[in-house]
Amino acid sequence: MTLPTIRRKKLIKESDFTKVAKRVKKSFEEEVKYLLEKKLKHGDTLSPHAFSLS
Amino acid sequence: MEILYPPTLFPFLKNKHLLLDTNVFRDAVVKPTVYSRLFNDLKTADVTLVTIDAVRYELLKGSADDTKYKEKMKLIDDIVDISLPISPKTVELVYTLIQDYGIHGTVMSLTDLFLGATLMQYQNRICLLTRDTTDFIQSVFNLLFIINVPYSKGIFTYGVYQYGA
Repeated sequence: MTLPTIRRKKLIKESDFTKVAKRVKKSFEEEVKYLLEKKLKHGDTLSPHAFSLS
Repeated sequence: MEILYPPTLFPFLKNKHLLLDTNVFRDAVVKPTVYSRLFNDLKTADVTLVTIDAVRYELLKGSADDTKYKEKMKLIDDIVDISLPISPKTVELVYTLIQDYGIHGTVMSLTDLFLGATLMQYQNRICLLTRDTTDFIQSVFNLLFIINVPYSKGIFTYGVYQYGA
């Protein structure tokens, strides 16, 4: 099976990307907080991704 | 500090697809300037950045509202050039990979299985970039390069893996 290809790649606009990344980082932090609270309450396991956001 | 990688990395990846694992996207939001430059350098060096839907699912789940969901989707779409479809062949190769892994497969997530099967499917035309350096075992996948990204609290270390190199 052939791999799909793209003729012209779009480059990332650094300033726009940074703005979106900051907002997404906040979302991830919210999710980690939710997981931590859930873990404290129910003893659920914590996502391994939780430690990479700091 | 900037990203540290061997000088042979870019020439090796030229005209190949680089499959991005979930952790790459998660780390990119920690140092967006550094990562956006890396992604652009790769794109300029004729490397096609790709991912699979399972990775998208991992990133999108937990989005508290529609705006946050769309922001994540935009981040992913800004980075990747193409999302690779899961074909019947990929699904078949997941079974092969489970057999190859044996007991080590116990810890594999479904996403990792599909990433691994995608590497098996496209062989030397594709590599995986992941910080999950314990699940892609070297008796099955070849660790070709190591990339280090220093950040405020430590170093993100990634492996570049290929199947059948």
